[in-house]
Amino acid sequence: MMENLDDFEKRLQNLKKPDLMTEHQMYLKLPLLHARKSAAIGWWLVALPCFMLACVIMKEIFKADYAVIDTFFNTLSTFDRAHGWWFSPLLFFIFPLMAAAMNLLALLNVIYDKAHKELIITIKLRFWNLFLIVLGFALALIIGFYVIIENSVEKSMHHLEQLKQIEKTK
Amino acid sequence: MQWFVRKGIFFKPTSLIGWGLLLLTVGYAVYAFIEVERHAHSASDTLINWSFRVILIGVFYSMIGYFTSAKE
Repeated sequence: MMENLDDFEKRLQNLKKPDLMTEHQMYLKLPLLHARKSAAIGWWLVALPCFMLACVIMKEIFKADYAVIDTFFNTLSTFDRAHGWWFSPLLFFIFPLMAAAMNLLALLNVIYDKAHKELIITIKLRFWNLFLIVLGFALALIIGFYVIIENSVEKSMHHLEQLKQIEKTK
Repeated sequence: MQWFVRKGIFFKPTSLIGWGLLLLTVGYAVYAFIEVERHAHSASDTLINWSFRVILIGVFYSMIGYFTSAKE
């Protein structure tokens, strides 16, 4: 019995001690944005793309023929002509991306553990910030796809018209 | 540099510069309404064009508010 106890004690002494996580640990916290302030500005940044998307959905999907929607698109093209080609991409693509990125940075917490050479990334669970991240990325994605598809359709229509003209001349 | 304090999604001015910026923003909104109203053909025409400009100026006002408001 005593021999067994000695053997057990020896085995316990030879066990490898776990490292203490809190001691001698170097933290490098990346500077974060304020979660509430980021959510506040996020709403402003996604307001116009949401408005535009609602107009596009009403016009293209529900085939709504309101003069209001046409006026809105006319205003946009007037703004585009007045400010240059960068105005619409900034408003409808960069702004929602900015909203998503700002809210993501507000929730992300990056810690560098120097002793273990680990990068620990955590995300705070705040509903409105998470909602704005999803909304911002979704808007940028949808509007990006919409622009690409519309552009390619326009190009193919133009190509088709050119082909028709060539056929006519023959 | 603390010109504003956050109240929900709005930034309330707390300094003279902040109030000046708010006055400029409101002034532009009024000017935009008058200009849009001059060229509009109906009430909805006015509203849709005016709200577009108001949101746009609101974005820029909020951006200034974001960077110049107190830390939370």
